[in-house]
Amino acid sequence: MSKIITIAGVVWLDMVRRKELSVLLILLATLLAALLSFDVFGLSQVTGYVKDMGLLAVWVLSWILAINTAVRQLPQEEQRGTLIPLLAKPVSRLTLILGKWLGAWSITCLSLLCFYLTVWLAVWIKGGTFNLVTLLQAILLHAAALALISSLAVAFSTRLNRDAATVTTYLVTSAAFLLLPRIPAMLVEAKGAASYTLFTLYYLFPHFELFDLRRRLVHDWGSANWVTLAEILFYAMLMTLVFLSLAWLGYRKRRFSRGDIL
Amino acid sequence: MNSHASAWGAGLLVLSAWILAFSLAAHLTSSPTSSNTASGVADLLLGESRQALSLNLFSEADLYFHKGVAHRDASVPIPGPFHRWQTAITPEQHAHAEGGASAEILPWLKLATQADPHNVEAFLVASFWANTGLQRLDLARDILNTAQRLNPGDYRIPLEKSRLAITSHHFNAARPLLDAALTLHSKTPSTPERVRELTLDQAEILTFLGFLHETKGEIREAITCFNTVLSLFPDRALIKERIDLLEAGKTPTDSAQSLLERITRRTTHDACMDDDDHDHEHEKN
Repeated sequence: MSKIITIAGVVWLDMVRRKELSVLLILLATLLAALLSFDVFGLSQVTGYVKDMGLLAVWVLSWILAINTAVRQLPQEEQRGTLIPLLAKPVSRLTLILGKWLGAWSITCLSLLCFYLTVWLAVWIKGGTFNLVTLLQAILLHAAALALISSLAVAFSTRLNRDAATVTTYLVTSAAFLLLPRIPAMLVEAKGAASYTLFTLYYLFPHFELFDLRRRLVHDWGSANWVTLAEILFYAMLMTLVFLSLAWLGYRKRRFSRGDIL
Repeated sequence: MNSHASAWGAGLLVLSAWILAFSLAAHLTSSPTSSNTASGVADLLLGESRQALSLNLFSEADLYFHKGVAHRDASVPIPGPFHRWQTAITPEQHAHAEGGASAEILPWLKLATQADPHNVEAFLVASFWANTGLQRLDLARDILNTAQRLNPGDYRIPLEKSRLAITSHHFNAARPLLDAALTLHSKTPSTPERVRELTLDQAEILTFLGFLHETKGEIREAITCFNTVLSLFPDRALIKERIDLLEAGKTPTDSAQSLLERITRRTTHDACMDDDDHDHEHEKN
């Protein structure tokens, strides 16, 4: 476990050096400042649109950050030529994968907290507030979704080069976000092979829509059922384990030669 | 590695510049003197996508009216836990925002009108919510004045203004507005998609005008208006009955003014076009 944490720590140091979080926070703050300066017919204390667009921005920025952080970890070690010395140490490939994933996920979660704090601050400036219990649930589910996205990105990066893995992860996650919730409606018209394909996709792809509590949060519907929340978190944990196992299966027998890397 | 960092930086810089440009454009296009030019440039740059964006923002306003509960399409129930979880975490009860809560609808309508200043429907709905939801007649009038400045040839705007005038008992102000609406209506080209809407609106204008004439004692003009309505919709028994009473020189039981007030009064319930039978929840702030 200590080795996993050490590798995760290296990911954190690399992230601090890159200053990506600062850039994304400035970007989010710029968007929120534009929203706060928007004049809604001179009405004050109208906060729904700030919450809505702010939370959407949080989802988009955290999605980008999770993929870009997780997907570069293993290819970066190969490109820098530090992979072989690392594997020469008593570090198993599973430990390496878990360490890289944990580092990428935990730093994305920290960024997520900063993003939510920034949105909360903007809403507070505008005179609004969030239901704190629902906000906590939203952050928990969001963090679980990021665990899943990070593990998927790591899994792709074990067999593809960095660019291909990035594009594939973006495609798969955006398709899952956009397509999966529509499949029950699409099945009304679908027949034969199309119907079976849709069913397969529905069960195969991760259901990211389950992690999105934005509507409940923005429209003050109150907190979600904790039992359901626990079930969804368990589902996220299982899916993350599946993707990390796939990552390990793809990586454990992979051969590296110094000539290929350097 | 440096090239990737540069790509990140360039991407974020472009995104920041876009957000800054969008917020600047949003402020600049609200200026009356530059609205036409800005609209032209925006049309040139965005074209039809502007209307699509506006419609999207307009549907977001509808979502806010229903407190975030989207209209449900027909779907096939799929076995497994996903549907159960989705139902448990997503609000599905049919609900409406009312009173102060309806102010949350307005930002989306304003954005819709800024995305496409010719989206008259968005202006009308914004005016409706300002008047009915927030009880801000002054704001409703301001919205309609802006709409008229940007869309001077649209009959729906003077019609809505006349409705506001009637509900606030400014009957004298309503009459020229209805005349203007009728003139503009006659110049509106009819398309197969809009033919029913145009006929309904024409009947509405004439009904309002008929009752206004009646309140002034101009019975002959009132009968002419009602007859035109009857020619458009021969099944309207109440109009036929009223014509008969007026032609016979009798005084109808319901006064023209009370009827005018009744048919121009609209509530937030009228805004909900759903015909489903879910439980309704109305939020008031």
